[in-house]
Formats: sequence, structure tokens, C-alpha cells
Amino acid sequence: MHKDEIKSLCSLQTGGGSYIYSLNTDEEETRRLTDLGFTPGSYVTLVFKSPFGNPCAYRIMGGTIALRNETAEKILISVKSPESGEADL
Amino acid sequence: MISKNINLVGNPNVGKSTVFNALTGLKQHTGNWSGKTVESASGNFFANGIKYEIFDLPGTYSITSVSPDEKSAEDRICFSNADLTVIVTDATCLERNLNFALRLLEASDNVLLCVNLIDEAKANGISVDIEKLSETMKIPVIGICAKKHKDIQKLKEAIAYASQNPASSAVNVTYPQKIENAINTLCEFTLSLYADISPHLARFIAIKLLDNPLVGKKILFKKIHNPETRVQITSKSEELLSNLKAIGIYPINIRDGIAESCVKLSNYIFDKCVTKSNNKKLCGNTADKILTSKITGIPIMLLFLCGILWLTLCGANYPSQFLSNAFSTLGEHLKLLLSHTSIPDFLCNILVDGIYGTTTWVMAVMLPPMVIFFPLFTVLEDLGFLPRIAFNLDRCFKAANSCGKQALTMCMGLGCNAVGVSGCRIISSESERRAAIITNTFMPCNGRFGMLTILSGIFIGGCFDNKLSSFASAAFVLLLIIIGTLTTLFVTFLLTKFVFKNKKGSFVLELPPYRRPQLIKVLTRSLLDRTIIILGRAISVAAPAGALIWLLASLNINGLSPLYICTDFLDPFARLIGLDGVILFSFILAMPANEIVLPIILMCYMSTNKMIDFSTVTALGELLRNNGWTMLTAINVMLFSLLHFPCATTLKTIKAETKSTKMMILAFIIPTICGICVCFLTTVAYRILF
Repeated sequence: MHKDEIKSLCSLQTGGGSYIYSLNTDEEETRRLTDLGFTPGSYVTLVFKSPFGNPCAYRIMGGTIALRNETAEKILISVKSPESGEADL
Repeated sequence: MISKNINLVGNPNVGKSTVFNALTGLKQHTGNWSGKTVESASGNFFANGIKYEIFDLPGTYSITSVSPDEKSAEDRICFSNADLTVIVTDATCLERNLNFALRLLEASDNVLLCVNLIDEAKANGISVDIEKLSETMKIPVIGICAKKHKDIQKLKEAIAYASQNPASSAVNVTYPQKIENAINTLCEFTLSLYADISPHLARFIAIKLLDNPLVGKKILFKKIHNPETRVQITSKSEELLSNLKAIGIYPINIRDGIAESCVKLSNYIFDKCVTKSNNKKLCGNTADKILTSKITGIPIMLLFLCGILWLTLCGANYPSQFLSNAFSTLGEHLKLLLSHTSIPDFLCNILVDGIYGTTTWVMAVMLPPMVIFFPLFTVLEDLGFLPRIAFNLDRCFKAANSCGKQALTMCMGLGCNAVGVSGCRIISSESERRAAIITNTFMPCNGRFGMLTILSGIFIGGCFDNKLSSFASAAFVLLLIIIGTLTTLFVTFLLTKFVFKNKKGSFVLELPPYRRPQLIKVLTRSLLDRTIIILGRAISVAAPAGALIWLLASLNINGLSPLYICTDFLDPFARLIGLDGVILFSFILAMPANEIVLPIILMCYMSTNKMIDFSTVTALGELLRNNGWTMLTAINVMLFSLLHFPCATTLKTIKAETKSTKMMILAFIIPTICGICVCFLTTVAYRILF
């Protein structure tokens, strides 16, 4: 996968969507986001922004979740769905 | 009698409380936003001679997180020995709910999956194949719409059946090979040491020890009582973890691997059992675009609030007047009646002027605004509007080092500050939570609300002609709420900056879909429940306070009444902040319940002025003006009511929530200082200007 295809969740335009590539948040936040459906491979859409532009509301796994841009910055997305079996765990 | 324990669990906002109420016939408060239920409730139903004890747990996204609102749910899920766990899921958001369900399957061995809101999903073009779901997950599954009586009957039968016939083996998440190997090794090791636990539980402990050692150890501690066994198991898990590390699989990879396998399986089940017939756009999206837009978002929010306040003020006038007329006529008759009996005059006066007068006053003047305001507010709550407020305002709260969830707790505080304080559990960062607890009293609770609307009606509305007056007074109450919000932000900023220094929290909040409020239910529930609660409070607090005031006013110490001595003592200080001794004394006496501030003020004035008929609002204004009230006094009383120490119940709740007396004292001092400063400033400003 080319590096330039990977961007942060913040770069999404309203109405635009993409696949989650990875989470660079700290452990506690990662667990919380994972529970809410933010896992690599999930499709995420930016549905609307708040009046001040921060936080934004994202649609993921059937739910609408509000995230601050500070958190969204640490979530990386890629245009293409990541191939499965990326690691030999 | 045989009794079965049933846990009701699920993501927030899937309708657990609605299911719970329908099952048990109880009236747990429901609302369309996550965090509504912070305390678990229990109730029961009977079927075929068996008692089913239902526990409604607060909504949670995970069974092993760290946030305080989810803690109690997790503890019950992991550590209670329930006969059956009912996972309530939302059919419109099944994808994520299934992920949670899979994780829960690991923790509990007997599970019933209840897919709620199946009709709403259908309306959105989502159809769920219940049978296939049950087949794939190897657990009983039932699809219901909790608002339908027939479906609840079906659910009761399913619960009865499932709690007596545990499913043999539910579907298991298979983890990446190397992690799976480690889990199996640890699981077998545990079973070889301690045969008393089920293989299912052993696997759960093994998964948690590898995924999240802190949580795993906690579970181990509760489940295995022999410390030596525990040490052996934990050292084995540490050995396995370091083995994995040696082949390049670090804890972070284990965590991600486990999470991803879970998501993969839930996606697989979802794709197999759920079909979306068309790509219907969710109807809430347009509404959200308007309600959260840059230009219209915040003005609409304020308009909504102002509209509610206006309706309250307008609507409350007539019943208020009717009630106080009725009560005062009844009072006259009562006095007449008592004078014919042999009851001494002294006792008769205490009863009628003291107890009866205060209690009926509270009922006549405080009740109507509450009865109108709260159903209206509950409608907004049911609709799903509150999370949008939190969403819109998060940026402002962020500037004060807090988060939008504080706005939710403030909305709860608008009802009752004690409820708002316990609602602060939804805030995950400890420093933000503490600041939110202390500042919650800046939202006028329903006890103070009545006084604010009355005074604003008399003094602010009175300045305008008839048509404008109710708008003006509603706008002023709105202004007071805005002042309360700004003070909250400012004090929160100071507290998080200088007192509770802690790392910055984040803001993650689910915005639920808009749902049609259950109008009739809202009306009956808030009318009946609230009315009864408020009447109860009025009688239990206002009656003794009324008697006390009457005594204080009538007793004689060296020719002066104790009331006069107290108010006279407070007077110089009170004048400095634009109040008078009577007002300040009333605020202090009304510590048990803020509803009775105004009645006490009136009683004090009347004890020196003799009885005046104050059954109309104009007469009430007259009485206050005769006792030296000016516009400044009225504004300062309202400001001080907004910014002063919380009531006794709230203080008790703060102590219980924070387990700290220091916090309780801070929560008393800080708002009081704010109130004194603000009132002092307005007084100085007023005296310079006029």
C-alpha cells in the first residue's frame, strides 16, 4: 500500500467515507474506540460537523459517534479496504 | 419459591430501560441518550410460580473498561452469578451490538439475545433474520419491539425457557492462531490447578489475562479464592506473554488481534443475517444538519429552551392563581373551624398560618411551572435532542478543560441537582467529573425554578405591557440559565486549571437516532410521578419549616422575636450584596429544600406586617415592594438563588459520589462565594448607574 493513500480521519469531507487503517491513540482510548466500532477495516463516514467544526459526528458500524478532531487526527484511514491477513499472528 | 436472577445488559440507548419497565411494570426513567441510567435498578415478574428477578444494568460499550459509569455494569456482568444474561440490542445498529454480544458471550455461559426496535429497523429497510441469527450464534434469539405488549409476553416466555434450559455451547470467537494457542494453554493450565470452575470461565479468564492483564487479574481475584493458585496462574500468563513477545507479538498486537477477530466474526454474522433492502437515507440526517449547523445550530437550541420557558410561564399563571385562591379560601374556613374547637389559639395559628400556609404556598406556586416544564423537557429528552446539545457545546466546554458531556449533566441538574451530580459518572476524566459535580448547582433545579419564574414575572415582566411581559420574563429566565452556564464554564476552567490538575480527557459520545417520543407515557409519567414526589417534599420539608418560622416569629426574647434577632444580625452583610437579612436568612433556612425560600421570605415579612392577601401575583409583588424590594433586590435574589450553596440532598449526594468530605465542603463554599461576589458587583454597578 502506498503511503500517500493513508490520511488522518480529519481529512474527510462531510459526506465522505473511507476505511480505517490504524489507530494511534493511547491504550485506554484505543479500547474505547474499538468498542465503538473503530477497528481497522471498518468503513467510516463523516456525517456532520458541530457548529464550531469540532467535534464531528461519524457513522460507523451502524452508530453515529461524535469525536473531537484531536482524537480523529490519531485515526488513520485509507481509501482502499485493507487486505485481510496482514499479520501472521 | 424458586427464583431466577436475570441480568439485562447492552450498549447504551438500545432501550434496556423500556424493556425493563415493560417486563417488571416499574417506572425506571427512560430517555433517548446514553448515560440515562447510571444506577442499576431491579424488579421482578412471576411466571408459572417462578420469580424472575431482573437487574437493569447501565448501558455499556464494553465489559472491561475503566470509566466510572460502566463500572457497576461490568462488575455485575463479570462477578454476579446470574441464571441468564439477556443482551438487549438495537436492530438499527446491530453491527456494533453484535460485537459487544460476542464479547459478552465469553463472560457469561447462559445468554439470550434480544433484538429490540425491530419495527424501527424495518421502517429503515433493515430486516433481521432472527432464526438464522440464533443458528449462527448458537444461542436463543428473540426479535421484539419493546413498546408492544404482545412482544413483551413473548420475551417473558423466552426468558422463562432460557433460564431453565441453558444453551449448550454458544459460538466462540476464534483468535489468530498463536494467540489462540496461548489462550488454550493458559485455560488448560487453570483447569488443571482448579477444577471447580467451568471451562467457559477458564477461557474467559485466560483471554482477559492476555488481552488486558489488569482486568484479568481483577476477575481472577474474584473467581479463584486460593492466593497460591492465583499466583501460579498469573505467572503462567506472564510467561506466555513473554513467549509471545519473543516471537514478535507484543501486548498491543494481542489486543488488536483479539479486537479484530471479534469484529470479523460479528461482521460475518451481520452480513449473513441482516439484509438492507434499500439504501434509504436515515431521516435524522437532515434534522441533524439543521440542528448542528454552523449558523442555525446554537440559535435553534436557545429558541427551543426559550420556547419551553415561555410555555411554562404562560401556562403556569392560571392554575397557580386558581390554586392559591382555593387554598386561601380553604385556609379561612379552616381557621374558622378550628376557632370553634377547644384547640388553643397558639396551636391553631401554628397549624394554619405556619404549616398550612407554607405547604399550600409551595404547592400553589411551585407545582404548576414544574408540571408544565418537565413533560416538555422529557419530550426533548425522548426525542434525542440532549446529546446534540452536548455535541454542539463541546467546543465551549473544551475551552474550559471539560467536555460536552458536562452539558448533559447540567440538563439533568435542571431537573434536580442531586440527579445531575450522580449523572456526572458519565464523564470519564476524574478532574472533569469533579469540576462538573461542584458546578452542577449553577443550573437552577426545579425547586428554584418556580421562584425564578415568579420573580421574573413580577419584576421583569411587570416592566412591559401585557403582550410582551411573558416573553420578557421567559427571556430573562433564559438569560439566568445562560449566566449559570457561563459561570459553570468559568468555574470549571478555574477548577481544572488550578485545583484538580489531571490529564486531559477526551470526548466520545454516541448520537442516537431521533425517536418519536412516547407522548402519552411522558405526560402521565412526569405528571403523576413528579407531582407525587414534589407534594411529598413540600409536605415533609415545608410543613416543619413553616412551623419553625412561625415559632421564631412569635416567640419573645426581651421583647424581640428570635426571627428578628437573626435577620437583624444578617442584615448589614445582606444589604452589602443587595439583599436583606430576611432573604439571606430564608436561603439558609431553606437548606433542606430550595422550594421553600420564597414562602419563608413571605412568612417573615408577614409576621411583622400582619396578614395580607397575596393570592394574586400582583398582590405578591405589592407585598415584596412594601418590604423594600427594588428591581435590584429582585435581580439579586434571582442571581443568588442561581449561585449559592446546593441543597442538603445534593450535598449528601456529592459526598456519596466522591467519597470525600473535602469535595462536599468545596461544593458548598465555591458557589456561595460566586453568588456573593456577583451580587456585590451588581449592587455596586446598580448604585453607580442609578
